[in-house]
Amino acid sequence: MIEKEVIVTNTLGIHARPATKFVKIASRYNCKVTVIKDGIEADGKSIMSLLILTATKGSRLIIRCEGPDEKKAIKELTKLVEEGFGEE
Amino acid sequence: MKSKIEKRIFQGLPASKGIVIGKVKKFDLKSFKIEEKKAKSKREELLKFDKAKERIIRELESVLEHFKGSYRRIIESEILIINDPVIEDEVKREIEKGYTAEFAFISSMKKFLSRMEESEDSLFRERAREINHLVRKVLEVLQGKPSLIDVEEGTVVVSDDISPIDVFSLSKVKNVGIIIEYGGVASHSAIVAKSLKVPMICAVRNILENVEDGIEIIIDGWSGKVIISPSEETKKEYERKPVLYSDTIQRIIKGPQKTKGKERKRVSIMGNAAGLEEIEEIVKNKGFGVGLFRTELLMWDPAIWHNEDRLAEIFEKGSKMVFPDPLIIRLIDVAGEPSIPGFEEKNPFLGLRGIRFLLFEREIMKMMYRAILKASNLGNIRILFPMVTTLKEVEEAKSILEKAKKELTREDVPFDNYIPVGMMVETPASALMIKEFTSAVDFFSIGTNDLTQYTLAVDRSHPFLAPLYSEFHPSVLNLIHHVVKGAHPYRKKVSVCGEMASDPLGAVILMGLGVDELSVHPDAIPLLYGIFQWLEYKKVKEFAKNILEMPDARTVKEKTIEFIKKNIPPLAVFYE
Repeated sequence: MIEKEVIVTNTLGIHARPATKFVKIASRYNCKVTVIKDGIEADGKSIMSLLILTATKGSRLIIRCEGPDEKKAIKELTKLVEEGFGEE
Repeated sequence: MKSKIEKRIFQGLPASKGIVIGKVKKFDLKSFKIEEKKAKSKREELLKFDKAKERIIRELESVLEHFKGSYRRIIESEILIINDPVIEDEVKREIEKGYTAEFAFISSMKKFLSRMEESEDSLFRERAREINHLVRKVLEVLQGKPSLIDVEEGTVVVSDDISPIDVFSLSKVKNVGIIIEYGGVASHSAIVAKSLKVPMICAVRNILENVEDGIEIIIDGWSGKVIISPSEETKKEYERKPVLYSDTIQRIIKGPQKTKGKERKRVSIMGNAAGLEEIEEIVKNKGFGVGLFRTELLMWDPAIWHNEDRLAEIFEKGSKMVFPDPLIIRLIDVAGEPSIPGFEEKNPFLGLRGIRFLLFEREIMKMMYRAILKASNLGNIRILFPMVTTLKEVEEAKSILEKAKKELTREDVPFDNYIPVGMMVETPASALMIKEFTSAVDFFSIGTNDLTQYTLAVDRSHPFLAPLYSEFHPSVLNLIHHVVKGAHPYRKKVSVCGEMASDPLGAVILMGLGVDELSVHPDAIPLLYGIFQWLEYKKVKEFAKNILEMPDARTVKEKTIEFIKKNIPPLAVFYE
């Protein structure tokens, strides 16, 4: 299991579009993906769970990956969040 | 009483142009109730849920290829929601407890949606609203109910709300229109309706309780007007309207054969816009720039949402598109926008709207100024204040503009220091006191819709009083004349940007009253250019003078029709 802390950088936060991107990438990996905000855990492959985190700009998140391909998964997912989901 | 009202008019926000004369079909989301019921067979419910899921995903995927950009991503996220593993587990758990698939689904979704609805971020609340569309769709399929896809030709769908996907399904049926009680013109559904050319009107309050399935209805996506049980006369008028924009218009645009020696007044024809697509149309139709750039849509668009730089970018693009012609940007006017949280007023039209709202929310005003100033370097942008009643408001608004300028100077951002400012004349107060304002602003723009409503004290959507509402009422015309008379000695130009300007009858009167600029629907620009070619200014001026003395709106309208028939013969067919 690996964990990494990231900060949401895009203006609008994790709304539907970023969540869609996140779930699409997370679902490509076999490992379990969990996103944690203020102690609340969300399944990283579930768009509704991500949305209800209501992670706005500046939110601190922990991404946790558990499974055979966890290293690759966490690398790609943290990059996605850190680069603001390709939004501004 | 009700049956006696021959026609009733409702007013909403025009979201997608076009006219449909059809029959009402109601779809009421509020009435969708799912009972907490135990199922007969768990296996059957599980199967039903899987089948419904499959069908909706298939439908969404088939629609997907027709969409690009942001709509495509909306559909993609809807597919992910339907496929959401956490929701699926939850639904299965509920079904295992013995509940029906419908109940299991709605209770699982509600757990999530209520969290989003409670969010302080309006974007998440808005998203919850859109996910509700999807929930409805799933429930419809689970219950085997008729869906929107099954509507017939010539139907006007009346609903509390509608999803982009449903709009798409409807676009496949001919001659269909949409009316919704909620939602703004910037909602995804409205944008999709516009791009697929399905006439649509938003924010028509209480329409659902005022219509029944099967009754006749007209929707006019140009003006936002909804007419219930129209008279034969009204129906004919609306049947003619689309023709107005095809055959005869060409003849009028060509102009009369003999025009020599006629004195003509230069009335500039500008266009009204709410986004860059409309500015494009204005340019295509050779309009003299944008006379009214409404900013409400932009300001409430989640992708722009108070984002100063995004806003500036759009203004700058618009300014480039019309250059060297002007781009007149009206600061946000929140009147009649139902979606502003925390602003529940008994009578919003007599409340915190226009410049009053901006002076109350000064940060919003300053942000808009900053965006406009950043975009102003070509020197063709002007600022317009909405709904002004006193000079003090203008002075305060200008002092905030100065603050914004100072900030930008400090930040070393270049801008047009001499950016002109103007004000909307929409109240009898500002019209009568016009001289007082001449020292404070560079130009005036008359909003005839509001000026009429405030002068006649009639809500134009009122079920019984709508016939009393008329821009042709001599009191309104006298106020317009008073504004022109007051402004011209000080070399201040007067434009009109209400619906009246887009109507040939109204345009002729306004020309006669000495108005300098008309700002109209982009599509009306060629027609108005054409109309003015036929008219000799001296004659129109004389005619307008007589109008000011007429006793009522009806006489004004009749006499203007007579005048038009005589002077612009091809236009006569529309008034027979």
